[in-house]
Amino acid sequence: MSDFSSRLNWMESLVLRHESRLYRTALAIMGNKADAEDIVQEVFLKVVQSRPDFQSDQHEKAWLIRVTANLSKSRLRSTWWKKTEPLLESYPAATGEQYDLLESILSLPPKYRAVIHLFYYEGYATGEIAEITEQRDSTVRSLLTRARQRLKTALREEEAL
Amino acid sequence: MKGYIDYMDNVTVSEQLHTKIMTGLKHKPVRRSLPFRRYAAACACAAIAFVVLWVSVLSGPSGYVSDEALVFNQAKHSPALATKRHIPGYFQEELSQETTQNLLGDAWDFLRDSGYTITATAGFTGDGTLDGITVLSTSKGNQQIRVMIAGNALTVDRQLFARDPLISKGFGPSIMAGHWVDPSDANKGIYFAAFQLNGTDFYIETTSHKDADEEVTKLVNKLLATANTDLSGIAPSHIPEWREDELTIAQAQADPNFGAYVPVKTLPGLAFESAMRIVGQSQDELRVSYHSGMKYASLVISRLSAEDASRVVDPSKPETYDLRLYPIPRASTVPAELSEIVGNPIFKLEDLTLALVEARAYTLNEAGDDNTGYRMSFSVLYGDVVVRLDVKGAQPGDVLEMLKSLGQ
Repeated sequence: MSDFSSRLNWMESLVLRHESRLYRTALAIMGNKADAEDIVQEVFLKVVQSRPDFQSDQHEKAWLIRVTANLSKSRLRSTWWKKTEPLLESYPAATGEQYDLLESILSLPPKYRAVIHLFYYEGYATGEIAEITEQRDSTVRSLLTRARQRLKTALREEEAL
Repeated sequence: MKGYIDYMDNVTVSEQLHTKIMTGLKHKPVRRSLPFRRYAAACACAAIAFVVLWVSVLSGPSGYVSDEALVFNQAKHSPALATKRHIPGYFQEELSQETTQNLLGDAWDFLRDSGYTITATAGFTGDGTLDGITVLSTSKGNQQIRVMIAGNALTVDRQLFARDPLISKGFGPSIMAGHWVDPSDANKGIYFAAFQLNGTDFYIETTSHKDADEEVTKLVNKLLATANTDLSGIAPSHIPEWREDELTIAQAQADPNFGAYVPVKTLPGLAFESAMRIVGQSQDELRVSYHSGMKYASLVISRLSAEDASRVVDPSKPETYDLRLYPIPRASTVPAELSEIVGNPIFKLEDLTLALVEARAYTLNEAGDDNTGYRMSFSVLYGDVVVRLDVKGAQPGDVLEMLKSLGQ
């Protein structure tokens, strides 16, 4: 196989392996499809620009998720985004049973959604989340605890309605 | 968190977004950080060369397989799993042989000449909009070929495959083809291929046999050449009555068919959440759910169907219902021939005892979860009415008491 083909296969393979995972992570943090789509495209552009030397599959995955989280945080900080309301209608359809839980999770601030997603969906330990999100382990644990408390409260309120 | 995980599992990058990602990479100028200024000139040359090579690589077809043979990528599971979804008011109608022949073109002749019996069914949404068409062809030797045609209903997920799939391009449209082997029997499995023709999705699947790959390849060729992608003439002869009404608990309890099976007294600690009365071509059921925090219970009340009847258990055969005999993960401990009945056994009301309920109770630790109480999942038969129960966070004694109180 030529270098050209190798390079193409490597990049397309990287995109195919990670695009959905990164899209889910961006969707969890940003809370809307339009931003998540932009971010996942930006992540792969970062790969082309910086051409990181991945040491292992785990390193590759963590690097990509870290870039996704950082790009999401940058976008959340921007003035433009702060003027924009996420649209509930833009989420992929959920079944009736999932809707309340999803609504509760998506109503949490982005910093909580990020740790909830990385902990429960991606299965990272709090120490690993701390590395990915560049926060202290204690901060991540605290965010996770508060997110769970908020979720329980939200679900109780939902139940009371 | 299961609901969240299930939801996220269904979120995937669309074909359009994937194309945007790859197109974006194709047109983005490539830049590398330069560690030392003195190497700038040399590195700039290298970078320019890389840009030229990179763009030419991405512009070319070498990411795909251009041979005329389909590449069957190894799949991790059957793609049929990816197509499950809820369509309000969904109903089906059988299509005539003439309509089917018109749709499939030469593929119809190929199937008939190969000895297959062909039947086709169109699925519609509740308002009569075409959702998709399934053509099922069965040979005398019980080989089966499915051809599914739909506007946007079918996708073969790239994550279906064990490795990054190779896409066959030599046929014109991109074709993603695969081969799945049943883990419980290496001789069983399927060969499949998916492609889009004039904006219409096609999916072909055949049960594994010696020439299955060749058969799929021939079908793909014939469909590409002669299939009719104008589905505007496929319309239902009539739209069956259907409803999906959200009810209050009082309305659910007053339902003339199933209200007597809605508990008057719910399980301790749980509160009514929602009730839904669903009527359609193949459904007539009342769903009621309760929850509190991480605990929940849901009841599905319906008439006993012929399929249900095979899952009514004999209490003297614990292998058909006792979960304590099967450690988790049950996918690898429950024998394949018992998986359906062990997954959802139906107990006759007169047989129901605390011991049977306990045989269905288990716990599962999830991080951050409220682990008080048990999970249980089974059905109870009251005459010709079946009540399916799914519960988390309850005690077997309370569940038994509630179930015994139903149908009064």
